[in-house]
Amino acid sequence: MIMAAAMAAVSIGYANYEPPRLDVVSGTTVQWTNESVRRHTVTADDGSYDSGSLNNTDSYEHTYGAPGTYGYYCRLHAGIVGEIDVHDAVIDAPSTPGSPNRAYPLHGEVAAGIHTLTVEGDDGSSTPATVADDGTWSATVVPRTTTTYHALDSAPVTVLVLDRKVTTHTRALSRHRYAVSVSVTPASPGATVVLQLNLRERFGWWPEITRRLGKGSTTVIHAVRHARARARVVLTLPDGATILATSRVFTLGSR
Amino acid sequence: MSRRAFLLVTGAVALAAAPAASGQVRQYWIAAVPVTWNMVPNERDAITGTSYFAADTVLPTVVYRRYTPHWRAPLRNVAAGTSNQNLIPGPLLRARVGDRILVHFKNLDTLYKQPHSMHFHGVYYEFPSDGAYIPGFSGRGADVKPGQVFTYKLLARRDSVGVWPYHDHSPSMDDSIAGGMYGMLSILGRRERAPDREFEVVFAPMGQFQTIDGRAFVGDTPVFTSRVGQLVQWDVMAMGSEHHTFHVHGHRWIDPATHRPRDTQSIGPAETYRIRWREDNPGTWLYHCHVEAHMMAGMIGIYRVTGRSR
Repeated sequence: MIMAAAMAAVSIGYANYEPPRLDVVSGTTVQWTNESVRRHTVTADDGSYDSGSLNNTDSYEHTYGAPGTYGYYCRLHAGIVGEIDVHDAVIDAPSTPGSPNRAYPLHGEVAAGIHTLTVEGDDGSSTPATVADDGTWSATVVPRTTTTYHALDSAPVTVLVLDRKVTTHTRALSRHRYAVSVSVTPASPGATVVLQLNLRERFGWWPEITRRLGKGSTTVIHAVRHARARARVVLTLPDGATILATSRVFTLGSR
Repeated sequence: MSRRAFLLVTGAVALAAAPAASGQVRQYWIAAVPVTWNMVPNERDAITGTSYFAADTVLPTVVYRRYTPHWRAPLRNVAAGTSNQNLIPGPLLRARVGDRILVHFKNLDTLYKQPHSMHFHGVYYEFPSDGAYIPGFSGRGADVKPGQVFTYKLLARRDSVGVWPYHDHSPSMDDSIAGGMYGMLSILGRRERAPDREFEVVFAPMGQFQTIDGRAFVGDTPVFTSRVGQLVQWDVMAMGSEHHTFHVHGHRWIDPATHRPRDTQSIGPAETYRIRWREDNPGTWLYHCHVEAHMMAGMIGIYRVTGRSR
């Protein structure tokens, strides 16, 4: 599904804006909604816009043009302030760590009219991005260690890089049923692991079963396999496809 | 090579509908659910050797998923071992002429929080079960909001024999179909023989690829399998805005309209064909859309037949 023109939301609390600071691309419409029991306003520091008094559930919208830093405040309560930082490009904050020398996808948005974008790393790397018609972009970087990236005038984002190990232990439950115990260090609870089989008709490694690690950074994958096949377990990003670490190869099946 | 082969074309056959006769009541429990979908799970085109990054092949989307009664637990959309793929297309809805089909649908779209629906071709139903959104006219079944349920009541009549599409026809229809919200009904005659193998092939664009069942390239698209001697049936459908040509290597079938053999069938949006033959040619064969640009963009797969040549 493709999202329409860029939108962003800010919630107004009892004594704060949430988030208090927001990075958006120019042309973005920001919508504030009062989710508190007090009345508030959204008033530009430079006086260029003012929502007037907003009651509970009322909302107000403003569309930001040129890049810059735009402060705003509540006229009714001293000390409630917020800021919208308008850029040509923004990078979505990475949610999970990457692995050394492994591909890691970054994505974000660009302002209308920008069709090319390069992601610059503080490791000296320079990666061209693919910009889609809807103003989103994606790029695949390959960090060696923890690296900070920016694109055009975006705020920097940091990809934490961890060298993780996947270990497996396979137990045959019956002739064709297996329990594969998986453990990842350093601990990565909630991370995604995939049991892959190397299959001739799939021309390589094929994802069979996807699981998330439990609190102890372990899980048990139950698999049924008749014909003999090489198997491995990979740690991936939440997409179940971008590989961060692989286990040693083992065998499932007996025929 | 002599071949007992035939093709049944579904479409606008204006036969008088049979009176509703005593058939079975078939109940399906289906939900619209979010999934993370990889169009190229092995990250490569095995024929050209081109590699792909997950960032370009994985997308979050919403699909039709089959459930146990009252949506207690998810089921596979088709049984394991049929060599059909799970999740895209949606559950294969099987029935025979005379059967009533109750499709209980629940919208569990927590990803986009959009309304969804199911709209069925080929079967008889009354207006409330049309599932197609018309502001001011259509009912709840055309605009099932997140968390809500609706039961579509369908009847397989004599003119329902064949394979037919179903798809989302709610206000989110365009985005939903682009994301894989489609499936097929497979209706047999009252005493018609069921095939030994039934393969679902849906030609549709997805993301930057031309896909079969939401997957692109040999090795990633479904690997269909059969044995010499089996009655195989291909349920072929197109969705989207383009025409395709379905071609299988090493095989021919008889077109009932012309009574001539074919090995390629043109197919346009929401058209469906049921193609059958008695398998007699072992090998690892290609099946694909013969529109060259579509084939190169992923609309191709393999069909493996085991056993001795007859």
